[in-house]
Amino acid sequence: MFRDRTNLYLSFRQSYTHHPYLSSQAAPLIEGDAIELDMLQPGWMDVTSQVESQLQAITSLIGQLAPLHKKHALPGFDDRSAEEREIEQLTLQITKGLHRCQALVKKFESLSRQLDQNDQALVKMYDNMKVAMAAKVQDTSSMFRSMQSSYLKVLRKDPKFASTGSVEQDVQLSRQALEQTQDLLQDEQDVEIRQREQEINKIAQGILEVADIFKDLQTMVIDQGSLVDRIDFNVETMYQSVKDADRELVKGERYQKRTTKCKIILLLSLIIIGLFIILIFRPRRHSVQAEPSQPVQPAPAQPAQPAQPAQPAQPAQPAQPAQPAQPAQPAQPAPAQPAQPAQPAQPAEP
Amino acid sequence: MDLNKVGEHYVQLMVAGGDNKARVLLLDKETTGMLSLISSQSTLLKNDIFLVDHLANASRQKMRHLDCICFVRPVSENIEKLVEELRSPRYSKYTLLFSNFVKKSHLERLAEADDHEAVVKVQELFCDYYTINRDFFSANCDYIYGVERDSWTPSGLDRSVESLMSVLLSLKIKPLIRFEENSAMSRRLAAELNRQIQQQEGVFDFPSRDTPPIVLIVDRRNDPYTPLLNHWTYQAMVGEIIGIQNNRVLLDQVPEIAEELQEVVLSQGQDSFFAEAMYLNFGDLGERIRDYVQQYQSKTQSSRQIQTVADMKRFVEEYPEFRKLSGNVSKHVTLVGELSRQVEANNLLAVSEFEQNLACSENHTRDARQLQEFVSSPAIPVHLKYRLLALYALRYEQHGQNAIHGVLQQIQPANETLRTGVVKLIQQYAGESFRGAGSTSNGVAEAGGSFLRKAQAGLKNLSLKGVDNVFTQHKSGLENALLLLAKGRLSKTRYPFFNPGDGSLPQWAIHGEETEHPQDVIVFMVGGATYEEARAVAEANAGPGRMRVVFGGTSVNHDLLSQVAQLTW
Repeated sequence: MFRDRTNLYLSFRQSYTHHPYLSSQAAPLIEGDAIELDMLQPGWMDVTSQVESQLQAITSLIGQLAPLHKKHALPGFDDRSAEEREIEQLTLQITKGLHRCQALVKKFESLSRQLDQNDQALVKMYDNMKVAMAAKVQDTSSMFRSMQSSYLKVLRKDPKFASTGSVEQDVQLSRQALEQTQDLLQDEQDVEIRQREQEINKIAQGILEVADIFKDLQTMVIDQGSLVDRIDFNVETMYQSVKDADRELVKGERYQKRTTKCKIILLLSLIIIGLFIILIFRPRRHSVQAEPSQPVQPAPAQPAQPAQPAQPAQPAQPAQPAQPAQPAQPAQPAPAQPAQPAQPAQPAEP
Repeated sequence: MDLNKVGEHYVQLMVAGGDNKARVLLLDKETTGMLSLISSQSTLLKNDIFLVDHLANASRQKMRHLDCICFVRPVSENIEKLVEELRSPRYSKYTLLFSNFVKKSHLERLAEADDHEAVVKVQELFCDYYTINRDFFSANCDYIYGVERDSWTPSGLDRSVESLMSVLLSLKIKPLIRFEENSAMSRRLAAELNRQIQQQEGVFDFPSRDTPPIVLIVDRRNDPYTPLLNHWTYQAMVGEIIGIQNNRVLLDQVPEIAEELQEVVLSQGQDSFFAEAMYLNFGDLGERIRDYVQQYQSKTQSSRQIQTVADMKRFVEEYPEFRKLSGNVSKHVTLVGELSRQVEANNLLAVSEFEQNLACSENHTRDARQLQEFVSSPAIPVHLKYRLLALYALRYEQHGQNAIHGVLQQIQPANETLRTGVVKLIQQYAGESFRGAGSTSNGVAEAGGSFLRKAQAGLKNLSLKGVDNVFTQHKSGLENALLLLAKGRLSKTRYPFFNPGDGSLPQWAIHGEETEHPQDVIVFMVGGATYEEARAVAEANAGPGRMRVVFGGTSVNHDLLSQVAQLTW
């Protein structure tokens, strides 16, 4: 059992004073820069409604054909050419209609190719529509086909053809008979046979034609009881592809971030290495070289120290003042200077 | 009393009133599973539902040309999502369907948010359960045991009551409730169910029946044997050996599996071969599938000579049927092939024979020796060793010389979860202290001197036959209870009626030995049902008795030991 709560809900809804949103605000919006795009019926609506109307027409034609088949199957002596022509006409129309349906279903494929392939939901929806339409056409076509073949069976029950077992034989027989009787048209009996054979021939061909359509669409239709017929599987796979796309995006982003990060790290480490080299080679040269260059040399050492890791910085500091301290007294403020920037730089490092 | 039919009916209600307009269906995680079991994608497509999505998916696009059907469980999380949805509707009209009772406060929240007046219909369709077979459902709660001994987790209790309530409403039943006397959990569930039924008095206003329907709540802990045994019927074997999740079977571990068979569906409602064969034992199944293949072969052969148009016509005429058949044939052949591969690889026949001995007869020296043999054999997979030990421990818990702890240390490679599982199984879960002393598993059906001989024969021609009733000696507790229940002789002290205390309980339920013979029975297994029990229920339903049973559980039990290992009592 179920319980309908619509009335309760509606009474709740009425009891709330709703924002006058719909009546006053939405109206100018529509008048203004006009129709919301998502309210428009997209292209598939046309296609589906076309298929639907085709199928409706076919069903009504089949409805007309059925009594004619029945009537025609009864034995009689009247002239039936008009009736036969009508049957033929109807059959032709139905077959044409089915062909048109087939073409329309195929149209979905081209429609969905025009879609933005990233929009999984929409792609999935087009796919679903195609399947649904194919299944509908399938139903109608198999109804028509079974009607045709049963009509054929009725015709075959005619004593002259009772011995033949299959449509193929019927078709062949009628073709042979056609050839044979081409010269012998005088005999009334033969004409009747020929007519019947022709008719059978046409029906058999019609069946084949419809069967082709059926086979073509069958690949699109879902098998009952298979995994693709599971609702959860369909939702999952849609999600899966969305998720996959998402994951790719995130991954890409991460890569991008990582490369910039890498670049920065590389740059910094290059700078560090470069400064290191400067630090290691320059001081030795100073100690060997003459004193006058001293006030200049501690200056490049200044930026080197903050960049350096703590450990080499410490031995470097005492080493510098120790060596120049003795020979060059006026240079004392210089070694004091590097000590000062080194201190604020150290807390900045971590 | 056919849950598949009920499900179909609900789906009809769900899709009704579409007027050929394209629609979208929004579900939550749980209703996706539930709906998948009772309906199919092609049914939805036939009813112009071209898109199915999760309500929780926030990146859904606006599609104002579509109508929306929303089928979700009435939990606060979903209501909040719906409120958001209604505030800025993505679709033109909304039909809100809930799988259970929706609170008035929730309805008010929704009504308040519905500024656009987008909602056109609100209904409660009571199908808040997972329909596995036509007479078997599950609430799919993974873990139900609370912190204290013999208690529920709040969510486990709620979920169980909700699914039971909706089963009752689906089947239009207002029941008398019976529960297992020694289980506080089943008493608790009975009380809660009774309370909620009384709360919804107006809804449960069904015409009274000659004999009142029964809800029988039983506790897994009184029959820990059944989930520990290997069973030999199709559905039970697939569930046991390969694993079934919501009727989906994952086969990607099978060697050399074709891509389209990596995951298959086993559904009683949609697969006529499965519906026929699901309760067959492995031997009969082998024969049936051979027939099936032959049938297929004869059809393929005829379709091979397709030169003639007549053949083609017949082929095409039968094409949908034919295609379906071929897909189905390969599915079942693969499944049965994989089952027999695993039966052989894991020595399941020998293991199963020993299991049955442990479950049905008592002979400590023999069993201890055999247990040693199995445990030290490298051919037996570890989880089976633990299961054998668990069965042994259940049987000989009180035996002075039992070797439980010795063997427990001995199993290599040790699996901590399963080890804890065995220990807790005895100490906390289903020791004799709970089940009552002397309550061995239950009635041994038929075992004679000849069974060993039969077993040997069975082992010899392992082919597909050879599964004899040696392997099906053990009858589940449920099977015995159902037999007694049908005769009106199920003990009232062990399975008392829940007395709501308002005089609604008939006199025969309180006094006297026998009860009326019930007609409609819903059995609910606290702690997880098994496919074997589902088979017993289906058999009871197919039998001559007039009792009709629907069986369900808090979950479908795949691995009792790992579940028990999580116990925190």
